[in-house]
Amino acid sequence: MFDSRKKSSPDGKNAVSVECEDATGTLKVCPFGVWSIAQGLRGTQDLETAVSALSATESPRLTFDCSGLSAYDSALICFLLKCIYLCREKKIPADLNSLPEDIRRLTELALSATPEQAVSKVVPDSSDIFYRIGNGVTRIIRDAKSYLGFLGETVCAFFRLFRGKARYRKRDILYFIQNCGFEALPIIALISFITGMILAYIGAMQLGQFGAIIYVVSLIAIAMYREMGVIMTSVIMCGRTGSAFAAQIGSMQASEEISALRVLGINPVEYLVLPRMIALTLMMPILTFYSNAFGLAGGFAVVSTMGVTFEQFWHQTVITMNLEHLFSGLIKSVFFGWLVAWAGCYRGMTAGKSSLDVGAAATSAAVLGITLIVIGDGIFAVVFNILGF
Amino acid sequence: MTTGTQMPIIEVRDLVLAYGTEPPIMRDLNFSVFPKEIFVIMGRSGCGKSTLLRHLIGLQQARAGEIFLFGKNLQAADEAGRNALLRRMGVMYQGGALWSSMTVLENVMLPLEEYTSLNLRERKEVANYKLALVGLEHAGNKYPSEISGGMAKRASIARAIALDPEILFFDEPGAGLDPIASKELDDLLLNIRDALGTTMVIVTHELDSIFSVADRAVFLDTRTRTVGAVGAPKELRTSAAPHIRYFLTRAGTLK
Repeated sequence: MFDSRKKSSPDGKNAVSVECEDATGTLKVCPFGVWSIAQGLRGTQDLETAVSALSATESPRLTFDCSGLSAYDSALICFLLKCIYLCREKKIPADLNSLPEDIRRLTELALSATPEQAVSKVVPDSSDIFYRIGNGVTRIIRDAKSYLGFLGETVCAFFRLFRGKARYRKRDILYFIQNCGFEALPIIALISFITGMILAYIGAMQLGQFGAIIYVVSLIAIAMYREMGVIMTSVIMCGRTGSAFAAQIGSMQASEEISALRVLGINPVEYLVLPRMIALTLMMPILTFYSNAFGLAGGFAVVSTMGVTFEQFWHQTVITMNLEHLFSGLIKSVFFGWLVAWAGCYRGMTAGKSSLDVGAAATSAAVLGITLIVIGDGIFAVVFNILGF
Repeated sequence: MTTGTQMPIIEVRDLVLAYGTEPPIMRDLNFSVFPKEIFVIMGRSGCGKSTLLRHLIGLQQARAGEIFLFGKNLQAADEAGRNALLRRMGVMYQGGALWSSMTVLENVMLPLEEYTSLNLRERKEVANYKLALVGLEHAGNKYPSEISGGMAKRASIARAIALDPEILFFDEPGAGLDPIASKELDDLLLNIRDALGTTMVIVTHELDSIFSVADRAVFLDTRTRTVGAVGAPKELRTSAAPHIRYFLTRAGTLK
């Protein structure tokens, strides 16, 4: 079936002949047989050769003879239009009256339809290097302004919150706490458990060679508490909650619900963004703590097969852990929670008005969130190193 | 209802509408709306009707020109002054724009919660009364996703009149409604105007609506990019420039 589609050359059923009367310079196009879209479209090569063969002194004309035609659909009209446009270019008048009534009407309709008046815009040449550089730079500046603008708005909203002046619904916070906290527990448990297992295998691969399996426990504990727990939780929340925030707020933008808030004098950043950011910022440390526990469990599941008992595992974990290890992940989780919620809300608030834009906002919220988490983690690594934390 | 001596409730002077750095959509707009009038903003699709509305309700800053609401300059007002002006008006958006996370009743209650000191029971009472005005007293506990488009528009009107505004704005109220619902909505607007004395500004291009409710109308001309004509629609149909008559007679098919 697909083969027949590729075949755009006719197989004789919808052939066309071009007759040229040299005396008057009249080009007669005679399509005959069955013309069907299913058999592909016909080119105008024959006419082109006939046109180029005409000598310049004649006053040529284009006429049609459809007497040999048995059936036709849009394939024929497309062909006729191509012939007429070709002749128009060469300033050859076409005689539509030589067409049968129904075909003539269709052709005239296609020729007479005036395109919708477009708003005249100056479209610059996009291949121009200076245009592209300028465009790129202005876009970067515009993006930076919009990031900083929204950052400023959210920070101001938090200031008003601390001064007790922000207007939002407390009920919303509880809803989002349930939504982004409790309901995320199963997926976080699964991912963290597996992460702990992977860490154990990686550690055992090297340390096992020295018979130091017990130190795998230390590795799992430190890696989970300092990095993997918080990173995994943040990434999950980014994909699960950050993009959901963007989609929710983006679709509210599309349906003018945000305009309705603004006109009522309600600041949408306080009303929509604050509850989401508060909820996720509060929940992230708790989720991280929970993730850490499951990471350890996953690690224990693996090292127990290598001869480490639960007492040994527990003892080794306790002597490895200190307050710095315990809290460095939790401190980071507060910031990452804020960043993930911020990225989601930012993409939602700056989303466009079409349904495509809502999807794009959700996707870019996840990308922006993960980028911010990794950048943030890098900054924390440097800062913690300097502080000896 | 043209009243020459009355103070206009909305006055637009030399307004220029534009998005970003693009060339203006409309320029040099001048017109006035008088109290208790139903004023229609009409024009062909894409002429900037809805953009003009967004300017009038303070969602967009004009590139140039002034908008006076109740005699005060909306563009020059600070945030508090602007909010004070906005509080005296209500808006019905094209799709209703009901807040989807709240029930219809809660939607109507939110403006009351923000701007009055009524307690919960009183807010419910007022909101139910507003819903009864638009014939939706039975649908208060439904979510916006559970009601029809026509009901969502009515609910949006109930929300818009929650704070007894002096001006109501409507963005294409008849769009997407069947002929009967559209007629009922027109009647509702007339009833609200007669009962509450609210000034109304309606963006629409539906001729039936224009002729049945509008006292006066402004025609935004896509070709000249400014006001084509201001006046009573029935008079414009006979006296305005040919292309405006063409618009008002549905391309010459209505008499």
